[in-house]
Amino acid sequence: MIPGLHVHQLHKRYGSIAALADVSLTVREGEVLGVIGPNGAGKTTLFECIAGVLPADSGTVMVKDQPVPGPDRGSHLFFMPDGIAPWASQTVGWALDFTVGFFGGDAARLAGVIERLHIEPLMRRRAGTLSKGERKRVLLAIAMLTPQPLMMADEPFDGLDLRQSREVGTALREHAAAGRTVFLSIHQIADAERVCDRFVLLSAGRVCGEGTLDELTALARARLAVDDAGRRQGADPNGLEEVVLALT
Amino acid sequence: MASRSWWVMLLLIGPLVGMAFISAVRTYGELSGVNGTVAGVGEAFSPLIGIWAPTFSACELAAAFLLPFVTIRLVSGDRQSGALKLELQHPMPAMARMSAKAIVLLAAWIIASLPPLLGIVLWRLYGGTTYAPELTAVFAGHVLNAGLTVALACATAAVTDHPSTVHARSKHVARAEADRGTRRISRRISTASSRSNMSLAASQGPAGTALHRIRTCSRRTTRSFVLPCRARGPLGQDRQHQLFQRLRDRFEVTTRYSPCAKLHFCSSVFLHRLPPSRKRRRLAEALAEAGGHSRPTTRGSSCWSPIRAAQS
Repeated sequence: MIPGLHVHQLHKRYGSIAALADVSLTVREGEVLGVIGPNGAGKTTLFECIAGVLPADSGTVMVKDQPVPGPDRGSHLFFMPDGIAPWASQTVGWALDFTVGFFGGDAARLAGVIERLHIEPLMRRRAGTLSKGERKRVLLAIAMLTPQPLMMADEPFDGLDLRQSREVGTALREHAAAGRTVFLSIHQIADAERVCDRFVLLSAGRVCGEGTLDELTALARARLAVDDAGRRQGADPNGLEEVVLALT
Repeated sequence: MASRSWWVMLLLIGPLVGMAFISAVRTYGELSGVNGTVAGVGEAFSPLIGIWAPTFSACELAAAFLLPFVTIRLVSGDRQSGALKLELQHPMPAMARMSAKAIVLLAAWIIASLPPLLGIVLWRLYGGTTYAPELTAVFAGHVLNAGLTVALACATAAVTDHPSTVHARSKHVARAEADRGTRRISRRISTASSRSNMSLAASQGPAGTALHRIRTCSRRTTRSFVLPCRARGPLGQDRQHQLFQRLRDRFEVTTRYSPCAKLHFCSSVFLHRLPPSRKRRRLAEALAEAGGHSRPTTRGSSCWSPIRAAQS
């Protein structure tokens, strides 16, 4: 088995709605993996169940072939949720220092992360007064300062403009190149295509495909309907956007 | 330090304690002084009852009405902002996490308890006497009371989603409640924190009753077990005498009365044995000693009082 994190047959229901149904996937060490899917596909639920923040109905999360119960996953991975505004009455500088101290992050990386995500002008501002994009960059900085080998971020490009999206994408790639595994939930296909090494396509709580762009393209081609004469119906999927449309 | 509700509590607890302390000192002086002076302060009454009970009662008010807000803001605020989702990912035992929050809240409470401690300093500067064990007991009791409030507020905050006004949430609660009466009440409650406080208020009664029962039961149980062990058979007359002698050696009871109380005591206990003429004379002497000018009546001496004497 490939070293990394394995999710095996994860199930989660909200009443009569199946948010996750038999979800299995693998996060390989040192890669940038992106979960792509439409709204309501179950991306956030999947991340919360993997992180142990939300209890799953069934299924296992394994690290190095060993099942890890929810409360113990904090030592293997860090999950940054979307749409949160933690420690709103504290300054950004305090929040970053607290993250390093509380989670045992590397204080030497602090200056580099601040510079890479352009957070220096925000350091003395209260976290509750930041705009959506500024808050997103601060949350990503918090996630990048944590010491766990796997970093999960829900919608890291949400609220960022084009320039910031590109800069954050580059920062995430550099972060992964420095030896950390990055697992992202994205619904902006262009950003996902630029940042991620592999993709997991999720739709209606089910995994529709997993692999690199080439592997998913081949899968999409294979699933295209074939007529009686043996000819494929519809054009060949070209690019991640068409692959996603074809498979989800 | 960044909690606004804590700063509000700090701002309010100062005037509350100050007002309680000043009125307690004034009442203490008025009641125990002689002829409107402050002579005898510290002798007639115990400062525990006269000063510290009313002064620390302001802390009781703060613990009931202000501390729950601080606690609810801390617990529910973390849930609402998402900070709890980050904190939960630290591989720390749940008990350690809860203990850390409880210690922080109790530390905040102890800082907020500085005004009554300042009252102790002021009391010493006024020339009053203090007894460290009783003050420590009062302070520790109020810290324990704050701990109970913190625990109940944490429990109620844990079952609410949002610490601030969410009308939609109250509508949701109203829909969820099957009972019509409960639904009507839920519609009126527009804030989640109000619901927390209602739960807190509702749970404090049973908790207090339970604590009282536990204390009474434990006391009875202790007595039931300890007294038969100590008695070792029926007490003879010699042993009774020895026991009373030992008690007399160990305990010294000093009773001091204010002049008015002395008069009332004399009139109600001793004067009924005297003939009317001597009774009248003794009362007049006692009143003159206390600064009174009126002639007291000898009828119904058991209910004689300086106020009635002044009226007559």
